Amino acid sequence: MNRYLLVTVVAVLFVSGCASSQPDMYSWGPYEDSLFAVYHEPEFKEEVLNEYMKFIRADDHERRVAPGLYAEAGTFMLNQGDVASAIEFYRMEYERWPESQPMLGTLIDNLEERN
Amino acid sequence: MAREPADAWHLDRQPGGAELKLIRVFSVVLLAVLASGCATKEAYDLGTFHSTQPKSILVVPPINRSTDVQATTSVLATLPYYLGEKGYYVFPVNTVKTLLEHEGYYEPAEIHAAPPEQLAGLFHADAILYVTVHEWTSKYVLLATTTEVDLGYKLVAADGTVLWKERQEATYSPNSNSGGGLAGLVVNAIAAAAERASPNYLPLTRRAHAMAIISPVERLKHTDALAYALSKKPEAQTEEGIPPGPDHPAHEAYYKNIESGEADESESGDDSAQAGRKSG
Repeated sequence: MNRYLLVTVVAVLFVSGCASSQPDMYSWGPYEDSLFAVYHEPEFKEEVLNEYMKFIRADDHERRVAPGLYAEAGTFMLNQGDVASAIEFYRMEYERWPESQPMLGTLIDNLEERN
Repeated sequence: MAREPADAWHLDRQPGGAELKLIRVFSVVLLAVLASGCATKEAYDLGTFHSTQPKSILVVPPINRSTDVQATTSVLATLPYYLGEKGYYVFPVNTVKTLLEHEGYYEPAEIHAAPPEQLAGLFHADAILYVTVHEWTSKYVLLATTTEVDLGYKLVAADGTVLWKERQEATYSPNSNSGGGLAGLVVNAIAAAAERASPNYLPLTRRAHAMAIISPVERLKHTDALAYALSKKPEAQTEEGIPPGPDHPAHEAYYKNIESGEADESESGDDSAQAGRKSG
């Protein structure tokens, strides 16, 4: 029984060690849960969005924040009527992801005119 | 909030005694040997993909042919991870949906029918990913609930050329590996009832995306960590799924491989290898 246990422990350590040696490129936070809550779980929406914004605003990300996530924060803020914050987050996406610039450039300009 | 029931493929959630774990270790080793050896699925011919090399992907709201309203959200919420980690810029799906509505596009069917050049032009996207949910059902039979999804993927370039297509089914049964006996039966029944009450689709959609989009070896990373650790990790991913995107570490090696492969073929005068085409 001890022999089996030893092999199992070694195997588990091996797995957990190796699984963490191929980490994700990006930090995704509670992104997926946030989208799901926004669309389908109104009772959790506020709580989950707060968690998402906390994640976005944190300054200790282990990895780069994933593509699109700053922009999504902007859209969440826009939907809450906070145009200033929306612009702030769209700018963050704009600066970090060149592919987003055509789309967000126009959006930011329009919002700044409004504001 | 714990919304994820223990599921059938997370290694760290396997119950059972040490002996069961040992048997599992051996069977997983065997699986790794098999998995690293064979590619049984036919891959889409990536010739056009290789010459287009899109950098950014626009994911539009999926068409839903099922009766479950949560299907499209689940798909939309879980796709960015797989495409992003594959090295592509993924346009923010909720922002895109909002902007499309602003442009008058409320129905996925309208969006899928719109000219790709027009959609891609709105965002300056290199490619558009259209997903169709063909099936999304939970079947409750005896003491087991099986949730099945069937997703169709189609990636087109901004000019409308098809780059990649895939059709992927995935099924999910909670606790299918739990220990036997009466206790196991009761656990299964409770899990099955809970699954029927509010099927949790996110793990299942992730599994479908993992199977469709990423290569066999990478797939193991998400479904079987030990097999992944034991498998040979290729420098360049080939065969199934989408090629690595510009931000992916394997991107350069992958395309070098393609180029040298083409150089060899043009020297010998062969046609390029004909992989089977999968209809979506």
